[in-house]
Amino acid sequence: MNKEYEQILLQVEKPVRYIGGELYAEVKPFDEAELHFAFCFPDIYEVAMSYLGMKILYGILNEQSWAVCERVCMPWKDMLAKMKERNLPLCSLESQTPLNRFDVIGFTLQYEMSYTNVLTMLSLGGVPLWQRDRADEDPFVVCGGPCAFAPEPIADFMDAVMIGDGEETILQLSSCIRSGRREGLSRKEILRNLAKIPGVYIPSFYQCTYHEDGTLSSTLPIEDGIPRKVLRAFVTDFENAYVPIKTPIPYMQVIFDRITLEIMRGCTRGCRFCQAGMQYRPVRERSMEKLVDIAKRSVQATGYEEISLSSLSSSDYSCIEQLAGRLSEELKEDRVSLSLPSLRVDKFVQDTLTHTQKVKKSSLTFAPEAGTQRLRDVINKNVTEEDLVNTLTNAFGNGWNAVKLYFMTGLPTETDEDLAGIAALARTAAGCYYHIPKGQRVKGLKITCSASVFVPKPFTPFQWCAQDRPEEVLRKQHYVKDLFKPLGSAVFHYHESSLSEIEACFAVGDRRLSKVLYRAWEKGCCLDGWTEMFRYDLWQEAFEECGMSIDFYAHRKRELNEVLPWDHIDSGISKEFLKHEYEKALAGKTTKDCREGCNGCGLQRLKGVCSQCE
Amino acid sequence: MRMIVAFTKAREIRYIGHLDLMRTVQRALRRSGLPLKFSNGFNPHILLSFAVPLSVGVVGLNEWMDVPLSEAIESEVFAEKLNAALPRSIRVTHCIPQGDKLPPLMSLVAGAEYHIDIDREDLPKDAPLRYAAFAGQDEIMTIRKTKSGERLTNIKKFVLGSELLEERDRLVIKLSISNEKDGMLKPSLWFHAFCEFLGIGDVPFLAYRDCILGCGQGGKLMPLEKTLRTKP
Repeated sequence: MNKEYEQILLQVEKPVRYIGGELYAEVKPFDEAELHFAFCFPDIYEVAMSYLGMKILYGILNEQSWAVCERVCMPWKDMLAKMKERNLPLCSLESQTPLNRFDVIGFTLQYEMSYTNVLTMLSLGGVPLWQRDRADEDPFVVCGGPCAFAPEPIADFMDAVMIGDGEETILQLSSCIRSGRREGLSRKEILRNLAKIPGVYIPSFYQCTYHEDGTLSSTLPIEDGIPRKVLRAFVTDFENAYVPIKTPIPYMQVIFDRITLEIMRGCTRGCRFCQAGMQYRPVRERSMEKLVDIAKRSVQATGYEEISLSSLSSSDYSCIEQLAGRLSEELKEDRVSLSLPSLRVDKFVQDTLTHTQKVKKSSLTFAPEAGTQRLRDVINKNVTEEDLVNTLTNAFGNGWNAVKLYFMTGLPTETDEDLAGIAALARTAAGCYYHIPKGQRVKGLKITCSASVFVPKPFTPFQWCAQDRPEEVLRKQHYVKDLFKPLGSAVFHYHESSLSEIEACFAVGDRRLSKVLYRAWEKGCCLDGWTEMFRYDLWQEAFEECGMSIDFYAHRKRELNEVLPWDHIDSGISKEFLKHEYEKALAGKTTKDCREGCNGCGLQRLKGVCSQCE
Repeated sequence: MRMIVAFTKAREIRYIGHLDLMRTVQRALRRSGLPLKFSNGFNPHILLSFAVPLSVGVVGLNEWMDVPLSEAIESEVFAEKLNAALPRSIRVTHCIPQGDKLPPLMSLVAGAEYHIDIDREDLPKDAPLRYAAFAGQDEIMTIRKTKSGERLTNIKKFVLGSELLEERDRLVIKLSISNEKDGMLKPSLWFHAFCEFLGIGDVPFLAYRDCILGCGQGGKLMPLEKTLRTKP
């Protein structure tokens, strides 16, 4: 590290973000490896180091003797300014190697509003942004993560997209590039080889055509031997899939300063708005014995005080009570506390929560999502008011006095009656508290309700839906806010909708949006996910200057027979199933949890993928 | 018993603040398997305290912390186990067992010795000559930030002694600073005032805390270690 850089570090906020050197950071000799992979998280260090996926893939790659994987994070605005001022390249944490010296640059796409960070990082790393501009010797820029299932808006910048579970794909992709480089193959030849790997999509091998009205006409391969549809990758042996134990431990406080134990992947509930639930099917659990063993080894290796059980819906883990009990017992001696997020209102079991009681009670969070049973049935969030009452009564009677309830506005078929239901639920929640005798309940009730704006997501039954226009969002937010006025102990929070509007454009957008993304980046948009950095005005300008319409992408209801910009990707779930679910939603009919009987979502076509439908 | 531990904080992690350092050491203590003591209450944490926080940017050559233990353990064993668990950037150099009656380490600190390295080429040629004039002033006024806010302060009164040494390609400013109610003067502020005196902008430098001082017999300042009884 040179003198100039050291000085800069002392001039920026939280310099620890940029130094690496953590315990368990893998500093392998860079030049001894054949394949150099830069794992890029398009947000700042604190967010990156809380992401389990990076820990997993980093570990898998570094286990290979021929590969070295180093981490790169997005610098914060003060560091960005200094880097631009002094022409400093973006470098990896482990060896301070500039980004463009890596063979593969992999981004995880967690959130559409991190796309400008992707461009910023590539630019600072000295890598040509557009895929078409890259020469044979330039790095391969690839991506994965939830947004990679519908990557068209960012596709023009990507050499390859890894869709689905990444554990096996990342190794196959790296190995393929390693061989290709060794054999002196051209970029295109290597891309052709990559296209053969399950779950890998090569955008430059496909062309998009559009109708006169602007809707997509087709996305078709333009190379021989390239499939019309790319099927996502599945890790079927989840029990034995890699679990990171000795993973870099940040010196600074990050979002999650704890061990994250992935107990289950996938979800069977079928909530119709939920992208994660649809995309990460089928449900796969790890055995209790395995989890307890991993937990003990992780505690010994890291010294963390808290372990968190991670999954999309932890109450659905088949023996969650026993697991929580066992872990609680084993961890008691080490004075490690257990955290159990992602619990459902309808399956909140008192016993499960007593195990997390060792820690001072923070607030409990639940997500009813909609204010009335009618609307909850439409979105298939099978939670009744009775469930909520039972759960809250249980919680308030056992020492909790703070509860957070999450909702969405703008869900399909929503009426003002449904919005009024949010306030009514808050009132009911308060009622549960006051029903507990004064001596038993803890003083100081706090009910926080917050509503985010519904964003239609690809590969969900609501992928055809339009997002509410900003004026309508505002009207609804104020309507609910007014209804909260007489409620003393309950508050209602909401956010400005403009960020969600741009998110919607990129969530259900097509390839033409790459122009808008580039223009917005050129204008200085970055770190959009951070309120203080988001510049709606610049995004509007970018859309206008590219002759594109925000309304067309975010606020237009799609026709059921419209070709969607992700139809050439197979998520495992069939479009027929999604259509059927959408129609059921409009009729207010619910669909059962598929553990109770297969609903034929499409996974049954693939042999050996889903154990539920056998 | 309480183990009083001398440790170093390496140059590569000088950017880590005190609280982060403390959390890093706490996690290492948990990994070490040493017989630690925990606080009472709902959310027990490891009992650990430091003699005096090290500012961000300063390398620690002889720092001190206090680790209460639930069982007696030999110094060498303690050092070995903790070093095995710590990241390489933090090293235990030696430790001194003390009894529980020892006053809090913080209360024993009377000051500290620092040195600042500057590349010769970064300062004007006459800087060494002008240092005596700078340090010899009765008052050196500059803005000092403390917990109570920013205030124009005479920082000279905190400095017990200082000198500038010339080496081939660098200059070394040595400083002895006293411990005050609102904390110790940061060596970076002294250097900043010197740059102001020379009429130049801020220049790269590297600060080291060489030694934490305690009060020995007769009120004489000496290395903290010497003020501890060697027998617990």
